[in-house]
Amino acid sequence: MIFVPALMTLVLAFTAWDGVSKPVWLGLDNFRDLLNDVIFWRAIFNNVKWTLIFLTVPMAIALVVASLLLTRRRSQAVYQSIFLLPYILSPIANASIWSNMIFDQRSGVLGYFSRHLLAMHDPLGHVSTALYTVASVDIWHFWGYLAIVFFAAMRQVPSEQLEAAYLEGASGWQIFRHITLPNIVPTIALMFVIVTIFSFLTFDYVYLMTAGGPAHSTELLSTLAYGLAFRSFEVGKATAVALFMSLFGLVAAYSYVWMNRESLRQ
Amino acid sequence: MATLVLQKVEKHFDSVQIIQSLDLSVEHGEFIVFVGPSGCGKSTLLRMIAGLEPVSSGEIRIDGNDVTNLPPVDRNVAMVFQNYALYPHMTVEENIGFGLRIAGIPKAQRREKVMEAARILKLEPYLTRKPKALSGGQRQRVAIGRAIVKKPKLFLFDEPLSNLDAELRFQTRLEIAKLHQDLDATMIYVTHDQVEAMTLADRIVVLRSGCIEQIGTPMDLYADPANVFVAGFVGSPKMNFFDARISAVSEDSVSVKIPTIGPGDYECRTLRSRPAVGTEVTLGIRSEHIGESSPERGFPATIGIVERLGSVSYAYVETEHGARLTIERRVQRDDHIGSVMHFRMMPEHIFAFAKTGERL
Amino acid sequence: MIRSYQRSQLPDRLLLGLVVLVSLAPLLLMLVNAFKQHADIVENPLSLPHSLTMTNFKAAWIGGHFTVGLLNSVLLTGTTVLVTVALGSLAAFPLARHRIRLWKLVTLYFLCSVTVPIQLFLFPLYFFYARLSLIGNVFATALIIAAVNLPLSVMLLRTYILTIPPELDDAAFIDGASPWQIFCYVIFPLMKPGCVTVAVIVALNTWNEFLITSTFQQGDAGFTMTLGYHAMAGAMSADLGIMMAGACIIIVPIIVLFLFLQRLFVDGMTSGAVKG
Repeated sequence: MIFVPALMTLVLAFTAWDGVSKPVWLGLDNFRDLLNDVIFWRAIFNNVKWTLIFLTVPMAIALVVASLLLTRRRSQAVYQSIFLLPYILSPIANASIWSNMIFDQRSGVLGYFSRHLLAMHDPLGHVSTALYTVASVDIWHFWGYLAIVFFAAMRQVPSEQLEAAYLEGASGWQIFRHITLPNIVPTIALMFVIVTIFSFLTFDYVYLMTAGGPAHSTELLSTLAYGLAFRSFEVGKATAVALFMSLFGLVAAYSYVWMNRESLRQ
Repeated sequence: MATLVLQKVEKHFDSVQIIQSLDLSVEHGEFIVFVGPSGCGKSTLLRMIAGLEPVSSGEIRIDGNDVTNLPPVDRNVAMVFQNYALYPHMTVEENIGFGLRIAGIPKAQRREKVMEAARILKLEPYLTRKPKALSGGQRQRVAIGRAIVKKPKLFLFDEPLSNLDAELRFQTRLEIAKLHQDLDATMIYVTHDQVEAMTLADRIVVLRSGCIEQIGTPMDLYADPANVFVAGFVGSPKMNFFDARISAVSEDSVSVKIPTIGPGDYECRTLRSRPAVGTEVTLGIRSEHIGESSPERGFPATIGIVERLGSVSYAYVETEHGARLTIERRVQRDDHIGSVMHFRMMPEHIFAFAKTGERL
Repeated sequence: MIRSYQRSQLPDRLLLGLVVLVSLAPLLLMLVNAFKQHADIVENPLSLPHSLTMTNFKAAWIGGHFTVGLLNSVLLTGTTVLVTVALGSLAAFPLARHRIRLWKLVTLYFLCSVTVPIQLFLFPLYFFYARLSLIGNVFATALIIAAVNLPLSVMLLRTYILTIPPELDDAAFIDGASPWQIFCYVIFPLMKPGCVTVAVIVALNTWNEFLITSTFQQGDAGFTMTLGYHAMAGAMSADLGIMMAGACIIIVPIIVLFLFLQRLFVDGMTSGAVKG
């Protein structure tokens, strides 16, 4: 089911197609056009920025909060549910709440603050802040997932190791740094890869909140491809962009498999 | 009730030979035990007889029919697993009747057969329970029930007692022995525990690294071992072994020099062959065949540790030349640790083995 | 479990409290404002409603075509879950039991399926479907979403099957069962918890799904709830009260389901991700 269309896509990347008439073979023209397109490079740049943001901010928050949960036996489940809530909710609903309810200049919370407290400009409307704003919303949505994954991993650290360290006089922070963290390194590594892959595939929040604007400041490869395919009907180019997207993901995934090759051998 | 013949059966996996070319013949109603250390291939052999593992070469014949390439259901065999392998989501009744259900036997008949098996094993009160509500012993009986309901030609047991505690093991062992008598069935049993082997078997097959070391009745293996491995494997505590050299050969006995026991020659009367003088051999003698003796007739040894088990004690002694022996002491004595006593070995019970392992 | 140390609990509590606040604040805002008129919201988005009227909700329901949307969403999610669980378990069974010679290849294939963007095959698939007039067909779309979810589901189900002792397979085989019978009578009944976990995850993904659904479910009659809301958001963004009410309607079923099935959600998300 996935294989055949993938093959088709590979071929299509080398053609020009408007979706209706027969594809025209273009060789590497699509790729050349893309590489010459400033917007394309913008998109890649944005994707890389996005990835870097996501590899640092949500991971750090998740690690810290997860470690805080370790000692709260009774309320763990409650906290977990609360943190997970943004993750399970529909992106459309979330995006709508943030764009309209919170950020909107006229009717949202920000507008309210602007009128009564500090004048603030629409973060989504400004080229310099748009990407970070959308990223923040997605961080709000995503970090809970990382938190519960890390939390589960931390709980699996054998208690004997923790007790041994405690007996030797290690403080809470030392135990975390020297025992807990090293034990969950495989999980952290896996999350690194997953976050990288998803960062290059990310679509929903960006499309719903800014659709790539303003002035392509939030244009990502995914929105670019979408636009090319369904707005300007340049399907060949769109699939070429998609190939680039998967390229980054594949590199990340492959390096992960390569690093874990012994443990993955059946 | 069936005969089983294994002819030149071999098994290799990739390039590793697990079972060397093996021949075995089992009579109607015999209880055969495969015994040996871990990794000797006994479970693999059992699974090949069951039809769970394919045979690399050779033939398996049940009642004269070549079943080598047949699936288990066509061989009419039943197996009892070490971990019971009961279907956790089915009741006891459904577990026992599963094979009959697959065979397409109608519900009424199934019920009848299951009831019969349940009666034999006293499982009637548990028929509607699921395995997790049963004790270990009850679960094992359900597993046996599943086997007998099919009235198979061969019963196969794969270490069925390993997961039970000592008391239960003892009881279930008796139940299996009784089952064998009542059903008069041909049974093949695998275990690593030589006590189970000795108590249950009509004949024992000792395996090591895929080869048969010896086949015989329990007493044969105990009193007449074919090689040093069987001698050391069967019998608890383990047989005492020392290095020795043949010093003289006569009509009905052989003299050996045992450097670690002491100067002088010792007589050995169990040899079946006449080896040359000067041959290096391994001598073996069981702990019950060494007795206390006087300083003139015996050799000295210092008592190390004494284990008292009630009716019998075992003394672990060491000679001044470095031999360590286990000696069985039937009569209650206060053997003091550190004291020196004298012992004598009975010549009719000293076994001699060549350095390559076979019995001389 | 190591007890908390002598250091003060306060900074911890503060941090956690802050995180909780940030997590919940937007949702509370949504809830509060769903009951207010637009004018009131504009005046003060942070105030509590005067009364708990359902006018906004009714308007949102109609405006977002939620009746049709609900039907479509349910159909879509249901079909996807069924297909994924059925195909997934069938595929996971041989993968768990047999030593696949091409295991490396299989892993690589699944890995690629996960990293590859949906876009990669979205476009050709769309035009292909268009030729077959399958656009807007809920069941056809379900197949696509199922295909996207299959690799992960198969992996999860496979690890679950691995926990079933292979002696059960052997016993059933000796009892005379064919591989298909072994699957139906022994393995599948024992897989139920794993299937439920997978079902929950797939259901969540499908219900919230946007990209594939928006591409393939065009036309009012084909809208799912999420799409209906999206369309409404474009047209009626002037009235925030209705918008928030609509968001509520979409979110509430998930929250309710989540609160009941928390365990399953968490298990599914963490299994495979945590090397234990």
